Amino acid sequence: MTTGELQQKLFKSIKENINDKLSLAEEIAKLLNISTDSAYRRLRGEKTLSLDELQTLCLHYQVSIDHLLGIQPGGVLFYGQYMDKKTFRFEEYVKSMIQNMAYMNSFKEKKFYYICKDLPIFYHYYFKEIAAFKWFFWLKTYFQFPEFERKKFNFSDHPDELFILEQKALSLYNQLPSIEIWNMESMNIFFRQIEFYMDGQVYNSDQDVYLLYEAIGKLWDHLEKQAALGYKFNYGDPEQKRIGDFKMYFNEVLMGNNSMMAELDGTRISYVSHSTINFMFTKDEEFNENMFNHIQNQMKRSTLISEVSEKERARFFHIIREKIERRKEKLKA
Amino acid sequence: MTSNGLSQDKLFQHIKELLPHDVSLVDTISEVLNVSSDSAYRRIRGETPLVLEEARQLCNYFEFSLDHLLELKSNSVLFENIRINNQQYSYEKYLSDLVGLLKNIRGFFLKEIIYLTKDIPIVHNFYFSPLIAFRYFFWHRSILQHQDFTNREFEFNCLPKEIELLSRELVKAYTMIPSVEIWNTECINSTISQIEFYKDSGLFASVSDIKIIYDALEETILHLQAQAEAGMKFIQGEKPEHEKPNFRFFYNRVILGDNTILVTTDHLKSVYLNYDVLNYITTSDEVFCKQCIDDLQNLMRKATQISQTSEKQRNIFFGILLSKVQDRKHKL
Repeated sequence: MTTGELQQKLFKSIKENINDKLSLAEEIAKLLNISTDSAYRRLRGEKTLSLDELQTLCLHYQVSIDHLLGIQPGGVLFYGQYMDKKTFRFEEYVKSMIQNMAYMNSFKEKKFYYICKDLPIFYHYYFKEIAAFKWFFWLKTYFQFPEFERKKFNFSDHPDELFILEQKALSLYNQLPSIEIWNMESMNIFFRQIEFYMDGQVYNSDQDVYLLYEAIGKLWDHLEKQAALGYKFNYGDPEQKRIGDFKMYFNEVLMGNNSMMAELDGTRISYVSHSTINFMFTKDEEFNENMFNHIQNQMKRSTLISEVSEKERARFFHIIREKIERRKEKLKA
Repeated sequence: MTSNGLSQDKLFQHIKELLPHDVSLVDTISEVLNVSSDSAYRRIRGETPLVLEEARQLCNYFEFSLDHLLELKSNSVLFENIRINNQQYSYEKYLSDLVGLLKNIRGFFLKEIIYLTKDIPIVHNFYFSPLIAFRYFFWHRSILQHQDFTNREFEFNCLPKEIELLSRELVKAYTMIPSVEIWNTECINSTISQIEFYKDSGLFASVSDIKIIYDALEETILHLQAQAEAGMKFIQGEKPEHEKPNFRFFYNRVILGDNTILVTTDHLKSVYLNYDVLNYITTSDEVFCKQCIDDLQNLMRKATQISQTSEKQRNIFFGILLSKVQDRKHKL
């Protein structure tokens, strides 16, 4: 494609994005700080655009130069906002999670893979006690919000309207057919965080810690039921009505890193976690192929403990349940 | 707005950074764009504006993104993917590239590696032959799924001499670079479960083989402890080559890390993210690296430094690691 043709392609795509009533030449003249006449010459391809002008136009009209020019950069492009301590808002974070889940659910064929390092984030939201703790932990210890510095943990500080949003995220996740690869460590860090606050005397009473473990125990029972049935259902639903399919693997070899992958009508998206709580995603085909093979390999090396392998499932859930119970006993003593 | 603007400058500046020192920018540009040296000069100096077609040719030739260079996409980061596949990119090449990378880092005046880890960082697996051999075997069989390892039992002599030498060279190169490591007591768990997994799967010829590997793991922990105590990295049995402390070791109790590595060399910072056991993606994106540093520093503030100082905490930390290994040994 010649420069003239490329330029016309650019203006064509800009034209599709602007209000019909506006004159393209006038808009461009204004943006580039040139006369309408000069703008026309650029529109007709008589005068070539400089890189600066190209940048201004593409920035304003949100056009990708790479896409326009057919540039194929080496490397893998990842998208995602780095969570900034100064601007982080928990509500917004949950809302974006809801948006993402709703987007995935809008596809006909969908599958979600999750290589857990920790308890999958959506499971924080079954019980208000757990949601409150995780919310508090993020804001106090991870983001170090100044107003949390000396704050003690109170279940009631967790806003109700936030919990409504969190439950929405959970319910959308539950609709998504998912495959989770767990390991023994997945719950340990959660226990460690609870104990970290005990050492730091962040709780008002041991009773609160006990309530927290009790909620974890209920969550654990629910997850085991879901694994046994091979699908997700609402907590407390006596009919255990099927929502989304659920496959659970127990991996004894690798720790997992909270990587995720979505397969949506044949398109793959990988989510890579970094710096503990940040995520970025990519649609890069080669990268995703590689990630997909890695996940398949992990599944092969793990034991499927949903629906089948009752004995292995019982062993996995028992080990963690023991840990929960031991901690509860200790608090009672 | 002038045609010899900032964007064009930026583009040529970027290309210049990509070229080795001994390659001429003018010659390269004139060759890629098929213009005279004089015309290339005029473009580099900004006297002749680049037309879109030329910009396209340059970007495709040097494989970079113009969206990225001109900051059109604020929420994206370009990564390079470093991955092993059995055909074009072998484990041997992977190791020798890592050695090359460390040697390159060593050549800079200012240098530092900050390593947030969830496993034992790769280089610490390479102190003792039995563990090098086990790592080599495990990664080939269970991660790379190399066909030669599918139906094989583990043997210490599976380890090729050149791989052992390269592994040790990697350790040597790493001891020369100042580094900070942030560990949890969980970091050792995956190695132990891998040994146990192979034991349960009947992949070891004898119990004594397993014991040899656990012994090597124990020795590894003890050597790490010695280095943390000295605040200096050194090869076991040798004296530290550095006179100044070059090893800071943190015990983190709060969050399980995720193998994020930040490398600083003079003015450049790069982040390496380990996404599937052996493979990495890396970027030098300024904003991304800056945020990563903030995160790592924040984590360090929450963690306890147990190198050089905090003897009691250090003993507790390494004591936990050692007891995990000893527990397994007793059960053999």
